[in-house]
Order: sequence, then C-alpha cells, then structure tokens
Amino acid sequence: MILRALMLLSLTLGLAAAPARAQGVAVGITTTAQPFVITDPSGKLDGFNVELARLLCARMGRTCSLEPTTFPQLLSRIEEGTFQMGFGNTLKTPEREKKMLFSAPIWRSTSSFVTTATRPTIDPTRARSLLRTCVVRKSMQEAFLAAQPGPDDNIVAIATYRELFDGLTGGACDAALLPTVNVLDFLSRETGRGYDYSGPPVDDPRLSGSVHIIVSKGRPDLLTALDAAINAIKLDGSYRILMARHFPFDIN
Amino acid sequence: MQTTPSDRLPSLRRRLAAIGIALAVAVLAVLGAMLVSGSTTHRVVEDSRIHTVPRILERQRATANLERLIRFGWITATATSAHDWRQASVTAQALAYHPSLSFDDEIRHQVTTVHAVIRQVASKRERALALRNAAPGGINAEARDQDREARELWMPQETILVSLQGKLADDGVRLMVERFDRVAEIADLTRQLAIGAAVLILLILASAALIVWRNLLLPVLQVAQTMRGTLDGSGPERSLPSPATAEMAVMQSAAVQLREALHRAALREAALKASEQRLGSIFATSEAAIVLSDAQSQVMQANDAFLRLIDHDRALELSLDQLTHTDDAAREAPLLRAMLKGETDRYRLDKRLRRQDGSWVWVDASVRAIRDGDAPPHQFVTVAIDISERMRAERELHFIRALVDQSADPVYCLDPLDGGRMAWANAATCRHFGASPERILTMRIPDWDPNFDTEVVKKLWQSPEPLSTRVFETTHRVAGGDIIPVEVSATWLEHDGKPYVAGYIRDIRDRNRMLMAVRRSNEDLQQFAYVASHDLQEPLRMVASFLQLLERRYGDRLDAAGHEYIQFAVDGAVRMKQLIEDLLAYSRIDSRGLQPQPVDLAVIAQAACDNLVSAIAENGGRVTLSDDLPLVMGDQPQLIRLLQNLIGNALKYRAPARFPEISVSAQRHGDSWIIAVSDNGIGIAPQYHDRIFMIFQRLHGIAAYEGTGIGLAICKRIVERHGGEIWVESQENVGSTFKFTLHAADVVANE
Repeated sequence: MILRALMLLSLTLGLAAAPARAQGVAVGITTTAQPFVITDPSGKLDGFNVELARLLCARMGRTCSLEPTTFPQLLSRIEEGTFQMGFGNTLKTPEREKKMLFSAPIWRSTSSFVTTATRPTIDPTRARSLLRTCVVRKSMQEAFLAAQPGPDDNIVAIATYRELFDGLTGGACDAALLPTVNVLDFLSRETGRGYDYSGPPVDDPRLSGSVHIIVSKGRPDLLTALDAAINAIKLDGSYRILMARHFPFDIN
Repeated sequence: MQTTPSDRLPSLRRRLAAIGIALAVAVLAVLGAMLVSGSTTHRVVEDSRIHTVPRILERQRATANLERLIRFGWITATATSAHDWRQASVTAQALAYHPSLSFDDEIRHQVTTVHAVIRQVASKRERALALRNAAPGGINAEARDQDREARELWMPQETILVSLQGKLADDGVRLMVERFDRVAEIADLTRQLAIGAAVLILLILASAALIVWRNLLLPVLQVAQTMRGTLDGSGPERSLPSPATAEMAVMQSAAVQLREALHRAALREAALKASEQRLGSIFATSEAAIVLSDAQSQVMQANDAFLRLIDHDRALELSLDQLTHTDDAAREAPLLRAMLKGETDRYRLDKRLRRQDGSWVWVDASVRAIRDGDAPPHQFVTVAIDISERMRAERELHFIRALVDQSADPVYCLDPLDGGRMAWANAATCRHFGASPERILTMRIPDWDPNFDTEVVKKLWQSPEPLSTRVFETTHRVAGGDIIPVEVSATWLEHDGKPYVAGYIRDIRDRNRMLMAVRRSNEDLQQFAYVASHDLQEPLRMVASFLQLLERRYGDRLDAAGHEYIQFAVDGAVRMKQLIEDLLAYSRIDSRGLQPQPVDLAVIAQAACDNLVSAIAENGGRVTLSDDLPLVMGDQPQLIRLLQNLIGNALKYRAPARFPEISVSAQRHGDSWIIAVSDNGIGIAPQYHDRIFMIFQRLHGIAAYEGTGIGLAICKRIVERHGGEIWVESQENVGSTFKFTLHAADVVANE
C-alpha cells in the first residue's frame, strides 16, 4: 500500500515537472528584409535576427520555437502573450511600453525614404501630401506619416518588407519609408536599381533610435534572462561577429 | 547624602562609554567616508560604465565605421564593377547617417560632407558608366575623365576621414585618461582615507586598550593577585594601588573587605583550631576529670583524669547515675530537673563518685548542659575535680576548730589594723569576757585590758614581728567586771595578706598563787641552805683545825695509822668545806646574782684565764680567745665563774698525751650568741652528755680527778638564769666543746 502510494506520488511529481521541462519560448520573428530574416524556398528561416534569436535562446538555456510572422501580428501576439519574445526590429515608444517589455538595445536604426534615384529629395513633412508612401503596418514609419498632413491614401500600409519593396517597384507607391538598414539589400539587388535613399534619414526622434527585442508583459523573468544574455554576447564578442557576418558596418 | 571616596572618582563606565562613543563616531566617520568614497567610486564606475565606456565604445564603433566609410568611398571611387561601387555608395549613405556617426556634430558634419562627396563620386561614376555604355567598345575618354575626377574627388576625403579617426582615437584616449585619472584620484583619496581611518581607529583602540589596561585589567590583575595571595596565604599582603575609577574603587574595596574577611575567617579558623587543639589537649591532659554524657547520663567520652579518678580502664559502659552516691544523687536531682526544664544551664555540686574498688571519692562537679536552641539538653559536660584532700582538710579543720572551740582556755584572734578588734574568739573567750559571740567581735583591747589604752595599742603594731610569739602577763576585765591577772600569748600571723595577732588567754590567778607559794618555799630553802652551809662551815673549820692541832701536838705519839687517820679526817673536812662552798655558790646563783647588763665577753674570758693562769701553766696548756667575742647580757661575776669552770674542766680533763689546746669563740644565732669552749681533752661519751650537768654527778672516781661534781651544775644554773641553754658536743679521746647561749646585748638594748 505504501509502495503504491509512493509510486503514485512519484508519478504525480513527474507529471508536474514535465511541463516545466518542456516549457519553451514562443518566439515571433518578422519576415522582414534581408539580412535580418532570410527565408529559403523550403521555408527555413535564416538571417541576422534568426541567428540572434537562436544565440540568445542558447545563452538563456531556453528552448525557443521560432515562428515567422508579420510585424503587426508580432505586436499583437506579444501583447496577447502567445509570443513570449519577438524579433521585429522594434523601436521603443511609450505606447508600446504599456503593452510589452523591451530588452536592452541591440542596435540603432534610422528611417529613410527610398524612392527612384531621379526623384528630388523628399521633404518628410510634405511626403504624405505629395507622394504615396509605402510603410509597414503598425510601424513607427506609419505612425510618422499618419502624423503628417495629407490624404490617407498616400499612406500605403503593407504587412511585410518584401511586399513593401514589391509595392515600390510595382508602382503601388511612389516612395517607401522604412529603416535605413533594411533598404541596403534591396538597393544592392537588381530590382533596386534606379532606387536610392532620398536624402539623409528623417530627422525625427520617432523614427530613429534603439532597436529592441520585445517580451511579453507577463514574462519579466524572461526579460531579465534576455538582457543578461544580450550583455553576455556583447561582452564575449559573439554579437560583433554575428553582426559583421550580416552587415557591412557596425549597426550597433 | 554622604559621599564615599568611590563617588569622587571618575566612572569606568563613563570612560568606556566615552571610548565607545569615540570609537563609534570614528567608525561612523570611517563608514561615512567609506560610504562617500564608495559612492563616489560607484558613481565614477557607473559614470564610466554608463557614459565613458559607451562613449569610448561609440568612438571605437565610429572609428570602425569611418574605416568602413573610407573603404566604401574608395570602392565607390575606384571599383570597376558598377554593382560594387553602387552598393558601396548606397551602403556609404546608410552608414553616413547611421547614429554611430552622429554623436558628434563635427563628425556628423564631416561625414555628411564626405557622404556628399561620395554621392558626387557616384554620380561621376554613373556618368562614366553611361558614357561607356554609349560609346562603341565601351571606351570613352570622357568616361575615363569622369572616373579620374571621381577618384580625385574622393582622395582628399580619405584624409579627412583618417583625421576624424585620429580625433576619435584621441578622444577615446582622453576619455580613458580622464576616467583613469579620476579613478586614480578617488583611489588615492580612498587610500588616504583608509590610512587615516586606520590610524584614527588604531589611536582610539590604543587609547581604549590603555584605559582598559590601566583602569580595568591591571587593577583586576592586581586584585586577582592579591586575592590569590590572600586565598593561598602565601603571598605578602600587597597594598593595592589607588583606584582610578569608581568601579575599581568598589572592586578594590570589596577585595579589601573580602581579604579582611578571609583574614578574620582564617584567624577565627586558626583560633578555632587552636582552641580545639587546646581543648583537646586540655581534655586529654587536664588533671580535672571531664566527662561527656548523654541525656540518660550514659558516659559518651571521658578523659584519662576521669578514668584515674574512678580507677577504671574504660568509661563508655559507665553511667554517672550509677557512679554517684545515692545521698548526693538525691541532692543533685532537683538541680538536674531545673536544667532539664531550661531554668538553668549549669550547676555545681560536691558529690561522691564510686571507684572501682568500692571506695568513694569526693569531687567538685560542674555540670553544663548542651542543647540545640530551646530544646531540652541532649548532652552534659561534667568537670569533676578531686576534692578528697580538701574535704579531708575541711574535716580536720572542723575538728581543730571544734577542739579550739571546746578548749577551756580562751583562744582569740585580733585585727591589729582595726585597733586590736577581736576578729575571732572561741566559746571560752566569750565566757572569759562575758560577751556574746556577736558582741565580742566588736570589742577592742582597751575594752578588756585596762593596761592598754588606744594610743598604746596603736604603738603595739608599729613594729610587726611576723611569726614571733610573745607571752606576757597582764590583767583583763572579765565577766562580772572583775579584773584578774592573765597570761596572754600573742603570735603575729598573716592570712590572705592581712596581719593578725592570735593566741591564748590563761587565767593565772591559781598559778600565781602557787608561784607565790613556791617562791616563798624556795626562798626559805635558799635561806636554809645558805644558813646551813654557812653554819656548817664553822664546825667543819673547827674539826679540821683541831685535827690539824691534834696532829701537830700529838703527832709524835701517833703511829703511822694514826697519822693516816688524821690525814683522812682532814681531807674529808677539806672536801666537806669545798663541797659546802660549792653548794653555797650554787645556792647563791639565784639569790645573790646581779641584774644582767651588757658585758664584754672578751673581758670576761680574759678574767677567767687570769684566774686560771697557774693551772694553765702547770698543764702546759694554751687558751685562745677569739678576736670577735661579743657584748652579751649577763651577770659578769657569774659569767667569769661560768667560763672559769669550763676552761678549768678542760685543763682538768686533759688528754695525757697532749697539751691542752683550749679556744673560746662566739657565733651569732638570732637574738643570741652561741659561746663555744673547745678542748682537745679526753672527751665524753655521748651517753653522758646530759648527765654531766646534774649536780653531784661524776664520771670518774675521786682518785682520778678531784672535784665535787657541782661545777657543771653551777654552769648550767648560771646559763639558765641568763635565759640560755648549755650543752656539750664531744667525742671520746678527741675533745669536747661546751656551748651555751646568751642574749645579745644589742637586741636587749633595742628592746
């Protein structure tokens, strides 16, 4: 009788411990432009963000399941908690801080207009009124443009960068407003020939600053572990190596 | 309120509190300084981590990105592949506006300028590319010019960017140096602060240690050493130093009190031990019998004296009740009951204890109860002293007192210091004076003796004569008022340091009457003897004269026998005459003697020798007179006769083989002189030493030594008339010494 009770207790404890061991981290990662995310034809994810996610999960000792998503979906699911961690090159804003947690900065970003090389330099304050501009939905670029005067139709909100560049080259929009670094790959490819940055990056604090990994609001423990992992890879040089493999200069 | 010396001393608690406060202040100061230092260090570190390090890293990244910008510019200017220089140009744009190169306005401006040049270079390369694409064979001089211009346009920019790199490197170095200088400054300050704090704490700790050592540890050690010495009893009594604090004063005072208490306890213990030893010794060696008994009078312990007293070997099986005489037990019972009731703690009783042989021994028993608190006594200590001798003496005293009391003669005792008051008198004395025993003890000499008044009585005791006895006659006023003659003896005694005069009183009325009768009878006899001797001499002289006449006239008619008979008759008459003269002299000693007066014995002896000069010469004798012959009281003629008789006897009874050697000497003996006349004659056998002084006693026949046998009797009578004694010390064939006593003239003169 006692032996049976002990076995039952062991089984109960084993069952209780099993979810803890199997508990992984659901990581949302936006299929943004190269070199952040590269999706091969088989659907396998690769790129700077993917490697960074794997590197940090390894450092945290967590089992992470990476799931490609769009930026709007990433924000929504992080807010919902279905993603515990999100890689979407997210800038920190007060509104977002109410809904999610932000890791230590991982690199710094600016936003630039991209348009045909022959087009005169775009005045950011008049861009909405003059041009149809593609932006990623729910991004700061969309928020910036929304704050500018002009018809709503001139704000072309698109879910992914791939669709954004397609829209730019396909004529869906006259220009695009997006992170400066995200444009490099597009400009270096054949499809981006004839396109160029339109002047220097937009000088607006909402569009430049530190890029963070976002964490579900209910997982501050994960945030702590994540910050420690970021600090660790910065100190041991692995982050610099990772960055050098994907970018032509130090974006940090 | 009264203050003690310790109240005037500083408090150790206050000193320690002051030290503690000082130490706490110092520690707090040190902690504060360390906190400030740490805070500053932390601030510097934080500032370094938050600002300096990021700024240095920023410059490092900027330097690296400038390097990349140089490369992108150079690629833009020189790369042959359009794809390469286009991508380099685009990347240069992204890089030029990247925040890593925007932290400094000058750098931003320079980089922006360089980027503008890169854009121009890219434009020239685009134009050159367009020209080549338009030219046949791709060769176009203008295109080369454009490329060359592009390169020339770019080359100065490298210098600008390198210069910016140098500036960033210098800034980085400057930041690092500034930061390290600040860190070094803080480190120095911290080190100095630590040294100062350490010195301050060491000073305070040293002061605290010194104060604790001087005010606490050292006094405590000294007190401990003193107490150790006191406890061991080995160390000398150390005088404690003056206390520095009130607490030490209290401790030292307590130590001194403890030491004194221990000393007193040790003294008490030693005294108790000594007392126990003394008591044990006294118990063991005491001549007094000591017995410890229980409530049933069973003997528990007894000393040797008790065993000797009752002649037992062991005492434990004895009971004091069984040892006590029943008569004495009856007297002791009420005393014991009173003690058992707690009314008394001790009693004393003379009682008898039975010895082993059944005899009884009187003891003076002192019994003391031993009790616990108010409980009945559970033990008794009896100290018994053998008083058998005392009891015997008391019985004898009682007997003697009874004898004295029952004596027919009055016996008295006077207090000379109280005017001759009667101090004790027997019943006969009371009857003698007709006074009650109480009354007689108030009477003084003048009350009964009319010959003594108060002044005379005072003079009587001015020259006490211890143990001397005087017997004198006086008169007493006796019962009935008659005054009668009495003989009184008075002996000077001393008892308990007080002088007494005691003696007897004897009614001498009958004796006086008898003496008067005897005296008259003696006088009659002396008169008779004198007359008889005197009257006998005349007829005797006639007998001798006529016999001698008869011999002269008729001698021729007498034959030899007749002559011999006449000679016998004459000799008899002569001896008869000598005998009568001696008897006459013997009888005249008392009747015709002179009153004694101081006389020089040397003169007397010389006179005696002068009278015997022919005899001395005939015998060839020699008489030696001592040079210190004294003055004595006496009748000179009689004393001359006395010495003449003795010296004459010495000549008469000389030893045939030697010449007489006679000496006369004197030796003081008390109030008298002993006069000795020694010779070397034939001596006298001891059995005759008394007989020779009797009248008419002769040791030899008349034929051997002539004489009447009265000489020594006359000597004896003369000496006795002078109140002395005469005796002989002699050894046959050796010699004789006749000794007699005479009163010294100086004593009698003083009286």
